[in-house]
Amino acid sequence: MDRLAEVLAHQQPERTARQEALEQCLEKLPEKSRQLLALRYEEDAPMERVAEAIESSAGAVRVMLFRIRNLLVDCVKYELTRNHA
Amino acid sequence: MTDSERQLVDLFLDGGLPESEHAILFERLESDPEALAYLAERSQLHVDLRRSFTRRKLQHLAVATAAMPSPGNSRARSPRSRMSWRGLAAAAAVLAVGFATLWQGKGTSPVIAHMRQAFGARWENCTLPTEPDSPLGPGRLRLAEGLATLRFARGAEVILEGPAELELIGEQICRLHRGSLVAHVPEPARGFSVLTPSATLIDHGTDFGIRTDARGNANVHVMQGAVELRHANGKAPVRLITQEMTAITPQQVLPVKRMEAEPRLPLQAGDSPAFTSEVSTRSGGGTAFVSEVRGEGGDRAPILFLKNSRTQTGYGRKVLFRFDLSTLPQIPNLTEAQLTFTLVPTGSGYAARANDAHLVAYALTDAAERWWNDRNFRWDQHPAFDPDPGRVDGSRAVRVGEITVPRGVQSGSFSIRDARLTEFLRSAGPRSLTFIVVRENPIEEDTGLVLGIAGNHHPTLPAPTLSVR
Repeated sequence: MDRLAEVLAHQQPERTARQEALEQCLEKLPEKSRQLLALRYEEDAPMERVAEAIESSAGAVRVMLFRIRNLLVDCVKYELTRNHA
Repeated sequence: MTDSERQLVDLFLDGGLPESEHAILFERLESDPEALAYLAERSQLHVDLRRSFTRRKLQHLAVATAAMPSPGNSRARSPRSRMSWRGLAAAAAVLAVGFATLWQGKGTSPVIAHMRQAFGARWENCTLPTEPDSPLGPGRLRLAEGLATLRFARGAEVILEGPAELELIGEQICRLHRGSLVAHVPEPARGFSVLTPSATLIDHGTDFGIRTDARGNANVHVMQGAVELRHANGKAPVRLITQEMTAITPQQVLPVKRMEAEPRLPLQAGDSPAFTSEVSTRSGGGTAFVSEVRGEGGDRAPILFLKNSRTQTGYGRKVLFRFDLSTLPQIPNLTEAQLTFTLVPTGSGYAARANDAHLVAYALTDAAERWWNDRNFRWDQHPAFDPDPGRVDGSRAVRVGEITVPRGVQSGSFSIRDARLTEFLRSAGPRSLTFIVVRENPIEEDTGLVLGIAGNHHPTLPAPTLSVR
């Protein structure tokens, strides 16, 4: 846990490029996935409320968010490599 | 890491991981670099997503407010237009906060907390800004004295009491290395966790106080609500509710007790009772320093100099304390003894050029009374003389304890508490007793700080004391 700050600090120089890559990746997401993220981050809604809003269960929302985030992480990595190439 | 473990990390970051499972996750993170790297990656994505969607929301609001009618158009407003005005005020507030967040966040670490206010705060060696209202990312705060209020991003408010060292890890987690804090945790921040050297405190929506030392002795007081304590010994968690307190040792969490009206926070939990008697070098004893520098030293000096150089010769200094033990009441079963002195800046040398100082106390086995005179304050004539400024003649003195003064510290009270000191005093009897204090490790740079100890002739600071029980 002591190394967390170190790891985060190490990632800082890429911040702007990463943020831009994330914006591009968000645009590539299906509308439904983007709406789910918006509920979670724009409204800062807890899992249960997100689940209510899309008429699903908290467990299902959790799995959906997990998959969307995995997609985003892969996409951001890809965009960063492509832009650096 | 398995997928389900990865999902646990996401759940934690989403605030959905039950508090009871935090400790398990922390243990996993502590022991697995891959898991830690995953948490770092996910935290970053979390922060980036929040930033991205905050910006999107601000754009929507800006568009919405631009499209609103002007307020003077209608005297009789409909409920809907009142809502719009409320909306506008909210939008303005969100815009202000949002822009500030975006501005502060640009090119810096993720903001996990803010410094709010400080009262009489003196900081040392912090890796984070300490100005009021500064955004704080992961890092360390070291508060030498005073109070400082921090607000974590999810709403937990922490008042740190100096001396203390706090490491900020995430929006919902920090590590108290030593010192005290009082926290108020509102509902959205439930699950806020404080790691200490021996246990993890997980909040269940409370006001609580916690104090720990670096060895893992701690006290916890719950003023309101409930907390859960998970000890590193792996035993079942202990729950504390309103008006309950407990002590934690490196081995275990002690039984929970009803809180006293006036919470006592001993610095070391499970501490033995206070010292019953003490004697100062001012009551019939004396203080002096011997120096290789001609014309320096003696027993009239208000500040006693202490130095040991690696390369430079002719600047060594050692300190002498004499206590008259006949003024101490006889204690048949002496269990502990402590030698305390106060460091004071000497104005000689640079703290920046110094390293940690290992100070060692020796008790003289010679009859001390005979030599406590001016002639013997000369460098090569002081008792147990050894030409090395970091040593004494081992045949005439015994080592009774040591202490490390961290780099950069030049003031404050320091105590040597050691079984060898207790043992020596048990056999010493009611007579005068002399200690020689040396800096064992040489200073790395000749221009480094010369340490000073307040002597009998210091106008304001206490002279060295010997406490027993």
